[in-house]
Amino acid sequence: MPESPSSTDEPADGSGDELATDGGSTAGVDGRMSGLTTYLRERPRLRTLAIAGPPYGILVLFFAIPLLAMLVVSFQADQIGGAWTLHNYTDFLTSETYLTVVWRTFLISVQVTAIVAAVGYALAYSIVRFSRRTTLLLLLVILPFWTSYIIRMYAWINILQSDGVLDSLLDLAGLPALGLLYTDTAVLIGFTYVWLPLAVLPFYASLTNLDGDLIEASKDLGAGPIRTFLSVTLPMTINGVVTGIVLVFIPTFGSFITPRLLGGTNNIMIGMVIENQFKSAFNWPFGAAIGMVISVVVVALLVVAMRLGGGLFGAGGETA
Amino acid sequence: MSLLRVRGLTKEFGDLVAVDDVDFDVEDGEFVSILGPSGSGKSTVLRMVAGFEEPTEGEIALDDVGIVGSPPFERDVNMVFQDLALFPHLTVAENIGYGLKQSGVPADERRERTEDMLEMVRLEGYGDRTPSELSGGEQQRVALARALVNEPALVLFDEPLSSLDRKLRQHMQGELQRIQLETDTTFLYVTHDQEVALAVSDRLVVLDDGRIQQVGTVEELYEAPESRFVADFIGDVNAVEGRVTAVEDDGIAINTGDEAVTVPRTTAEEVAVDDAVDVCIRPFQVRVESADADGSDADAPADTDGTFSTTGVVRSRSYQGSDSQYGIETDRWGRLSAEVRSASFEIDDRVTVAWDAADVHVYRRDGDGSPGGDGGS
Amino acid sequence: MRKLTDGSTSLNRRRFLQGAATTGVAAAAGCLGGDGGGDRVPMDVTEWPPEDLESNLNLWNWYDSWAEYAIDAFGDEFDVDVSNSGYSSADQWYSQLQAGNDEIDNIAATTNWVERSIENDFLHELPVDVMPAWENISDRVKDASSYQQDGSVYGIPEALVLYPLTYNDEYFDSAPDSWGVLWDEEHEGDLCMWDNATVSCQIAALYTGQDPIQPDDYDEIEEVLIQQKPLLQTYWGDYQQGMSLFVNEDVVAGPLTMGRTYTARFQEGAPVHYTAPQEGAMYTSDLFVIPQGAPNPIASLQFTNWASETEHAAQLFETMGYQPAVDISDELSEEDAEFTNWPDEWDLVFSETLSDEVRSRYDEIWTAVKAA
Repeated sequence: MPESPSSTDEPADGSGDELATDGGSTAGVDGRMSGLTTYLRERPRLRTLAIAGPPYGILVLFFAIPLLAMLVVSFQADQIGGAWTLHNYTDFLTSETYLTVVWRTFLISVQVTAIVAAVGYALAYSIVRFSRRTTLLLLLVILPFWTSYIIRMYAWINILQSDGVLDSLLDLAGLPALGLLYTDTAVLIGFTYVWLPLAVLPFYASLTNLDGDLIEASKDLGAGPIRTFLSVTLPMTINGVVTGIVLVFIPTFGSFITPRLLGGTNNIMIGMVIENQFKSAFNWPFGAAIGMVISVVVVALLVVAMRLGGGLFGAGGETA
Repeated sequence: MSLLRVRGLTKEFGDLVAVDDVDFDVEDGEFVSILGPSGSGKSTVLRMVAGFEEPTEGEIALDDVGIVGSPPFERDVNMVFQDLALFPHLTVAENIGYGLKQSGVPADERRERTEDMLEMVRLEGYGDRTPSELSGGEQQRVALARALVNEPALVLFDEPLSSLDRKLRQHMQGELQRIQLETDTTFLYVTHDQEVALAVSDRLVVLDDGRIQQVGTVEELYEAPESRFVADFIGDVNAVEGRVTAVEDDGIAINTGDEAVTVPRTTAEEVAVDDAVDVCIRPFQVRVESADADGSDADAPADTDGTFSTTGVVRSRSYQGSDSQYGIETDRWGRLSAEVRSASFEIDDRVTVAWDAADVHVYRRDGDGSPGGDGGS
Repeated sequence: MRKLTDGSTSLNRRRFLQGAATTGVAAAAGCLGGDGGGDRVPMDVTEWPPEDLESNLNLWNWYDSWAEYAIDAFGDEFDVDVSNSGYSSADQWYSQLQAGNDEIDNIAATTNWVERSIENDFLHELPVDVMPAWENISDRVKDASSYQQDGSVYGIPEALVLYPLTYNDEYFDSAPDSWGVLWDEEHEGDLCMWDNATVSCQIAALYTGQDPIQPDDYDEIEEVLIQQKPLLQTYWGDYQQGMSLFVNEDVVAGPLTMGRTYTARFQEGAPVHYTAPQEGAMYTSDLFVIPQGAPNPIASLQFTNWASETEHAAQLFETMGYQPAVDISDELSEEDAEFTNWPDEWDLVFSETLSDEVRSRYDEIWTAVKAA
């Protein structure tokens, strides 16, 4: 339907004036507001733009453009502005060394995610089900976020080093010292500690929304605690669990500080390799290419994991 | 032998005594309701039977076997929850088959029994839907089917009908009774709604403040309430304040204003001279006649030979089917209500109001509404 | 890139604050007007002292406490309002220069990044002939001339940065005379290496008798580094962490910077010292440079000269523990003088900027070693 600009503008202005005269100043504001909404209502495309524009704008500005920039850089030879090439990708994908590092990064990320998910779920569950001081406990969970990541890692160095806090306590208890610093265990402990809040919060949110009657109904119908957990609690909170897993898995996969500070000579992760390309090897294109490959791998892994997770828990019931 | 036997059941939450020394039985095949206002402890009793709460003291026996201490999933009872607690992530069929799956019933048999149960609750063909796709009444049926399919010794209901509108609630009451008969299952039903309780139950357990007020059939509770509380809670009641002036072998004289009326001894056990009492009478037992037709508009004297009577003015009327309910401002005892069949009065008509002393119940007015005589707590 | 954000929250916030602060200072400077400076560049100064200094100076110097000293001392002496942005990584200021600098006046930079900056024409040439303090720079540093090109000078050395072998001087009776100590099974578990491809590969190159700038047998470098792994406690990745390894006596020998060794020895009281083994040791220099686009280039030039006066250079040494570019032995205590004394027989190799090929081979080797 063709419409002239004036026919749509006039009623908007008219209603604004009318309300302003007989309704006082507030009505005048309302009138202008309703004038604006009327104006937008009659222009669906403009309205869609007004509503969806800002979030998309933010996504494009802070996510798409940097990603695109990385993509462009990753196809350049040696330095930014160099010739176009694929060799950054072929070098990475054909190198046994780098693939070994990726595989190790994957293994440690899976371990960390599993540990954090288990510990975080237990923690969130006990906060929700057995605690009265919920707010206080949640605050304690989040509290470490107020401190710099590096400082927290140094705290762990103090705890884990030989003759450190942990060993001193063990010594008091008459147990042998562990000297965990610079081992795989130290890296796992460090990761578990830093990412735990990221998992606990979504777990907590989904568990609070879980209707306690459903747990009782399950027990009432003959399911013991474990079967109730598997067939009601877990499926009902699966969204929170997946969110927590994603939030933990992704940053672990990209970590470089924790393994560097707490790990021994074997704790190399792909994030350290990427950081190196940018900070000391001066090979941004190669770093960008590794980053792109890793992004694709991580997203693919998560999609697959979520599909599997959805299949296992989402359908539930009769399939088993 | 009773199916369910509850003895000395007590539950304390800190300083609060939620359930206080409760005894009652449920016979096989009975439909028993626990009736009480909110906070009376009725849901706590139910949850102790189901196994969600541990009693502080007392025994619960099912089929003569003590079940206190055994977890909910090992008890041969199933519950229909107040908010139904259907599993939103499972289909209707999966919800109903959930209990069977837990007890290891093979898939074929499970499907068959689920189908039968859907038919029983008249939800054939709804098996693949999810609970959120059903109406409130349909969800009630699924919750009921989910409990019944396990063929438990006892089905517990925690006010599941309270969320339904009146019409649907009445319909579901009928369905509950039908299904109870068809499945020959024992029901223990908790509610604060006397209408539901009176409509569906064989027997009632009236609970107030954690203590049992009375256990009996609907008729017993209505016609012989043992306390002012029960009288109030089960149907409407008029109460007239009075004072005991004499206790004889054959009757008790109670002064409710000017003169004493003698009431039969059976209506008020264990009262003493000078006790303050409430004389209670059901509205349907109150007789109302036109004062003019009687040929006298003077105060009718309180009849000492077994009739309470006064005069008053009609202040309100409402029709309830074939009966009319009148609110009458009496000259002697304040406002009373009366249910009258066959006669018709207008607002502001002067009437005489009377009832037989044999119909009253007298309770000592000691503040806690317990039956007169035992001195309360 | 999500995966690069590990732990960088604080870093980003810090950078943001720095950015905000410097922008604020720059804006303030703008408001005060381009007083005195005009369009002059350092090479316009033909007589010392330069006249009409600008009233502001924005430093980027990561020796925070020395910068504090400079802000007061230089500020009072020349009536210039000085501010400093500490930074943690050279790419922070380098990307600023790439983006078109309009706020940084003076950077304390390492040689490699200075060379990159000179290649990209990011730096002002300096009139060293008229600068009195240029005479103070020791010859050893002047010879390490990568900041000089075609007769032009683009930076004034601030310090010599040695990558020595640091060792526990109670555990060892005398300074180990070979990098081989890091391959000696006798010290198994008490050794460390630096998680830095270039540094570690160059140590391996020196150990195997190769040219660390242009080695001819990469396989051997990789082989000896893999062979070394079981003997090590860890690769340290952070200077503080590296220093703690020695202070806590978790290790008895390994690479550490001279500055951290100084801090460990004199501030933490740890029994550590450093040496340059007979195979040689790498060193580089930090320099003061004036980037193109500096809003206050003449004040910056005056500052560069001021910082190279012995009194202020000595102050810098007390803060950082690196060998000053200026001979300050007269200003030092006996033990500091002993600490900064580099014997003539030390074979020091200037850490020239590596070719792209060598750098990327070193990087590959190091990744392979850690993944082995």
